[in-house]
Amino acid sequence: MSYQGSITNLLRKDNADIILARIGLVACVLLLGLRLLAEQVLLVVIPLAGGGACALYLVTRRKEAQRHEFVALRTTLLGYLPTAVFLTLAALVLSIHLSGGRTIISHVLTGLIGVFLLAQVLLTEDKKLNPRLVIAQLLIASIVIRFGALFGTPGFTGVDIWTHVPDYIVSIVDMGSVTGIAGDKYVMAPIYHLYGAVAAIIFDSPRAGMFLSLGTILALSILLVYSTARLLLSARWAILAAILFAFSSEVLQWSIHLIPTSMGLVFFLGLLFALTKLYYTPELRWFGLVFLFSLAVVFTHQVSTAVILLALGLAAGIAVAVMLRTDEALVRGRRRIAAGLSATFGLTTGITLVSWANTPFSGEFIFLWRMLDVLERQILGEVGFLNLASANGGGGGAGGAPSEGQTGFLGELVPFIEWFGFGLLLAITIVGAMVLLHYFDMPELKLTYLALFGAMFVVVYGLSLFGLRTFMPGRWLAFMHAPMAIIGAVGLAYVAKNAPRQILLIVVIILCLGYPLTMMTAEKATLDAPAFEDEYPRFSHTESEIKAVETLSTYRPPETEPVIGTDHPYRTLYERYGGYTIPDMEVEDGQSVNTPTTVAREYQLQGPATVHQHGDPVVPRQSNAYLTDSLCADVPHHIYTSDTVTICTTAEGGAEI
Amino acid sequence: MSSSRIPNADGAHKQPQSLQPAGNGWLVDLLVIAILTVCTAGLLWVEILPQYVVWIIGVPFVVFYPGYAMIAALLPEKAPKLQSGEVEPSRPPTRLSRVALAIVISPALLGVLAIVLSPWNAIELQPLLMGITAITLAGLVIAAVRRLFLPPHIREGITLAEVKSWMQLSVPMSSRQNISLGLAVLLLIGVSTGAVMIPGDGEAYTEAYLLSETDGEYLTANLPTNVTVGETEEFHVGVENHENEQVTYELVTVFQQLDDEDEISAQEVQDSVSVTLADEEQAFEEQSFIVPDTAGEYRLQVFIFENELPDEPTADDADHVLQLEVTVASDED
Repeated sequence: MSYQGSITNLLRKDNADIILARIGLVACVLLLGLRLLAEQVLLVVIPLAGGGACALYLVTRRKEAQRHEFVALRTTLLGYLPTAVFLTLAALVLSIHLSGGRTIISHVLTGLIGVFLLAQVLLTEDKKLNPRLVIAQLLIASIVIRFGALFGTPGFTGVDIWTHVPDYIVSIVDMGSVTGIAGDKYVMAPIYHLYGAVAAIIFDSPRAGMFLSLGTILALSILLVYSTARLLLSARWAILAAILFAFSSEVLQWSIHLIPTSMGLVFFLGLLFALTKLYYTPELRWFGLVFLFSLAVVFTHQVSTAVILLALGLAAGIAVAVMLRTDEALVRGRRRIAAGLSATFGLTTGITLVSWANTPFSGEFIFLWRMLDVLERQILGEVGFLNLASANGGGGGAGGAPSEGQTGFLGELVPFIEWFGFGLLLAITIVGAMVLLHYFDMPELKLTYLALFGAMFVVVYGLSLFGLRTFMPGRWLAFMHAPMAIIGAVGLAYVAKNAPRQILLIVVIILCLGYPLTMMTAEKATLDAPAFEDEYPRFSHTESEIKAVETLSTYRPPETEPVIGTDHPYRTLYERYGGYTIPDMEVEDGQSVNTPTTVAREYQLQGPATVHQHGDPVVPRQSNAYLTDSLCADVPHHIYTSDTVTICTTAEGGAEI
Repeated sequence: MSSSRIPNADGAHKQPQSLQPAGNGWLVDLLVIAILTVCTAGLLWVEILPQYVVWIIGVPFVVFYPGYAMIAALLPEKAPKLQSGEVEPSRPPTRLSRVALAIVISPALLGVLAIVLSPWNAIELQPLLMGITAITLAGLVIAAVRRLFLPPHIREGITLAEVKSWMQLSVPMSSRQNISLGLAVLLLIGVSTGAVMIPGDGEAYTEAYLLSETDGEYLTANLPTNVTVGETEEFHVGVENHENEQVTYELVTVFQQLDDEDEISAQEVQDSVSVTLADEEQAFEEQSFIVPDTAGEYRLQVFIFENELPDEPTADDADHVLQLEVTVASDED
């Protein structure tokens, strides 16, 4: 190989990784200064994680010459960890069954299962580690945790799924044809809905069909992360990658909020495996699988398509660049990789553009032109440095409530608990990135992984830093966690082998306890029953809340155009499941001023749902902090009541109900 | 590919195992999947199975079999059996990787099948069962042919020894640890089975709502909020029992006179009815009231009591309350 160019030459030097780590350390310290300009927890978490990772790498690298065998604990207690996993799983099932859904107890139990799994991988000596047993535990845990959340919740968890399943999939089943979603953007990306329809027919229930088909696939898809990591790492570290991915809050989110993003994520994992495999064996079948998964994504979900186009584009570009700098003796295999990936990228891009140019959007637009228009408007009008309204946009309609909940020390601490797990993952990913860069020989592979992680990180956090959220960065997080888990496992494997024993023990203990417990109690992992219930609203609904929508739509159907108001996210149920058009309800003196009919629910006084305070400007408020009594308390006509929901109206004769 | 400092080198690198021919086992997995696919399709076709049986046999049918057939066709070579420290990315994928790929490919295949059926409005049970079976069997036939043309020693297949080795999941430690693991697994199976077989009662609640009736159709509209003195007005109360048990509901309709501060100055019971509903049962009860002789603002309330009617029914004691503010106009108005 002959590399040219100053940057490349710099990176080829034996100490290039050390230089990078030192630069990273300084850059992270400087980045901490941004915290003075904006109140955003990530401006603390990212520099701390990055700086910690660079410091850890430098220490480990310095002690490398004195490296020792993997530090394993020689205690018989470790042999009981599989027992602990199954006992905790049993307790989790019991807890969900007795409580009728997930609670803070089940979130902690879920986190503990992750602790026990990580401890097996990180603390058991080689001869006593049975990889198949750990994988079996991980798969069973993944299924139990996800099915517990899915079947333990009435209806569905999340917002968008209430459109995808009860509306789109049911329409396809009713008509026996994709014309059931004609006019929607998914008519050109129907695989999720068609698969959901197939499962709905087989299982005679759209809900059970979705859970048992796509829910099962999401639960088992962690095998692909293991398989991909196994191409680079020994079984122990490949399992670690799978555990990191399975216990990611973002991945759990899309495993319980089963929408096209979820299916896009699964296809992306398939693509990542095939892409990694073809670097080693550039056979036609692996290119074919990469193309098949790319097509599957294009015809499933538009945001996921952007993710895979980025991945393919980077892979093709890097393959071409590497080929151009490679010695003649090696060029043949690399030419094949470069040509295959370029062709796959070109074909996928072409098909995507043709598909998007024929995709309807909101009834009157074409998807491609509409997205370009939105992008142009965002760049010209809204983009600005530290425009940080949300670095988490496009989270499946599951954004948090305005922050008026827990105050004091705990309130300050919650965002850091939320992001602690991500910080750990980021830290070991950065260590892994430097290990890949310095030690791994295959340039196409390591540069593709690093570029993919870097580019996704820029889309999620970099562009968000400037307020550019056209690409819905919240949807990219789970995708990003796949390469992060694999690179992170590479990093931790290096640290485990080379770091001083005391530092390694600290890293292992923090990761074992901190990662699963914080990830499994984070907002995104607990949409159905937030662990921090004063901070984040519940994105699931009780049986009586769902039944209220059904009853109202039966006796006052949407065709009669009633003007209804209620909190967010409950209003989304009336829109998506009930079919009503609902404005933002504005509240003054404890009563809606712009909707003749109001839906009050107990949760408005208990949890942080969002209502809007009337005024100029209208201010979003947390309902439990803003309301002191039921929204219906002073409304004259109470025409519906259940134990948790009251519907009232000011209009005479219930004409506006 | 890497030095000993690199993470994949933490275990001893052993030579790849010798590839032993699978004997007649090269067809076993294909035959098993074919038989399971056909049997499942047949059982689902007759539509007489209990729900939980459909769930058990249906999941691999839509999640695994089609993808497995395709992956088997794509990868006819023997899957390597790697030691935990071995890293052999250039060899064909392991069996676990193939299973993972199969699970991810299945939804793509079934999505395409549904696209093919769509123009004929044929996304229905029987065409789907035939389609899934056809896709799976086609993949299995291709896989068998491709395996047949490979030398026996690199042909994919499953031997009895391999099946036995899959079952060796125990902790390689003391028997006490293995026993505790076995008991914990049994406990998980027992608890999970119990949770599935004995579903929880779910939320216990009652719904009540005011309705008007026009030609047998009930709507929450046209309720008697503007009435004239001396007339008799009717409305309906819908009650739905979701209390997970039979409940007797006592409905009491009262007409209340309000003072200047909206406090009740007088109250008269106008109508009452008792209705017993089984769980998930619904009733529409007609209620009526005689409009008082004096014009003004009144309040109509319907108290709903569950199982027990107090001597003096009030809103505070009622389990549920519905209400209308009623404007009473005189004849001259």
